[in-house]
Amino acid sequence: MNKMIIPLIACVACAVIVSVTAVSVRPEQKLNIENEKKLKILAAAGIVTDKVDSEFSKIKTLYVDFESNILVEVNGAYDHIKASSNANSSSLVPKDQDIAILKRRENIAPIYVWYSEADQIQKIVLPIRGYGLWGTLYGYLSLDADLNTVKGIEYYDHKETPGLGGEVDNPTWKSDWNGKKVYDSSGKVILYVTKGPSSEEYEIDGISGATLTSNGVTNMIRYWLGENGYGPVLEKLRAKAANV
Amino acid sequence: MKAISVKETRKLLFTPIVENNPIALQILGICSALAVTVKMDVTLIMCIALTSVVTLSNLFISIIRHYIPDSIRIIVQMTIISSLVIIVDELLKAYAYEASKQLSVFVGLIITNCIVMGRAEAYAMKNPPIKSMLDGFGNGLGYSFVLLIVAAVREIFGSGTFFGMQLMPENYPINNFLLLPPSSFIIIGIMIWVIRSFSKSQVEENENPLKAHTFKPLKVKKEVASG
Repeated sequence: MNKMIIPLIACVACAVIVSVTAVSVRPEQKLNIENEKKLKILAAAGIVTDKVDSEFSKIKTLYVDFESNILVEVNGAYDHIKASSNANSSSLVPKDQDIAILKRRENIAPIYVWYSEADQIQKIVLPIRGYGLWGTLYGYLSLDADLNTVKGIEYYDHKETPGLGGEVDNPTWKSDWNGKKVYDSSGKVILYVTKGPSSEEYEIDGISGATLTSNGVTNMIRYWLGENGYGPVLEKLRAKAANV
Repeated sequence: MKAISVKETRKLLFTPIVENNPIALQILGICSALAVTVKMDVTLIMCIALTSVVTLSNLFISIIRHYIPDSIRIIVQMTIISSLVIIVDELLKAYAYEASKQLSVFVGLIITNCIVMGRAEAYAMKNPPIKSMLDGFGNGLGYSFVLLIVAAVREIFGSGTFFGMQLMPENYPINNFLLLPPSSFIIIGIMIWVIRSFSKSQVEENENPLKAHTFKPLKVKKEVASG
């Protein structure tokens, strides 16, 4: 038994050192992740910059309440991803509506809006997420002033296979989103990821070798921009813009 | 603990660079050499990460080498190596986020890098701490030497940049082949060829020579006689 003492001490020492390091650098890591999310929001809207904070201060963050489909005020820091796993701040998505396989959806989600001088919406970024092949893809979709034309899409976290589903990060594929239309004239979400190259203005190039990821992307677009997601709020914003 | 002479220190540090290179001679740690050598800055961080892990793991394993029961030595080595790798990974995520994202799984895969395990098992288990540490550092340098050359070739001729700075003329076409992992095989192959043509002692004996009757007898006789 004596022989085992040193290896045991080594194990305990390793465990302690690893935990201490992990805990002590956590704040820096969180900061990096926050920064990364902001970068992705800006990138989705087509802004590439080093000065993240100054660019980000031009954005107005609004909060959408999915129950009543109105914009609400939220005080302090609010993490909608965290809220989506908390029973008090989220609700179960009914099985027949749950095309993006979310299981739970937060009650309130942020949207990021650029306003012009005349208080008109210039562009808007919506957080989206949904199940691909191996796990949930988290990202942002940006819409133009008409709240129908896509500006860009960015994913900040996913577990898809590099080279196949991981091609959602490919700049060439992402550039195919620019200018595509989300809704048809009756207000239905028709944008989808097709197979092979896209030809219509509501089609996105399929990712070869990644049918399930492509379907996942289609489903999350359909869910989040549909009537259970941001759809009704976007409609209200569009009507308001038309009245001005 | 005996002091180590300058000569010995130099030998420990510099023989792994050309004479006994872990990649070029021992052909260890190839997979990360293929995967992380697209850009110089990322490669440099990988080299620093691996060098610090192999140096420290050799040191710690050597310190407790007399107390590790033989039957569980690999597990103890792995515990120490993987703890060091996790620490490096956490530090990269905190202070070099961009690079850590590009390195992705390959930092974690240092745990299974044959160089780290190989030096622990072959050297640190049999030698005193300071010597082991120098040996680990030397092998890290040897690994870095190969990786940095491969990365330099791939970045300069692949994307026309060096550490992100434009080096080639503006209209230099991107050479996609060099940006894909298999190109490293060829670059490392050429490096091994060059190294071995200078130091003949590294040339291995042909383990599976062709039988004499399978090709022209005259030439075979000459080669067999000389080799």
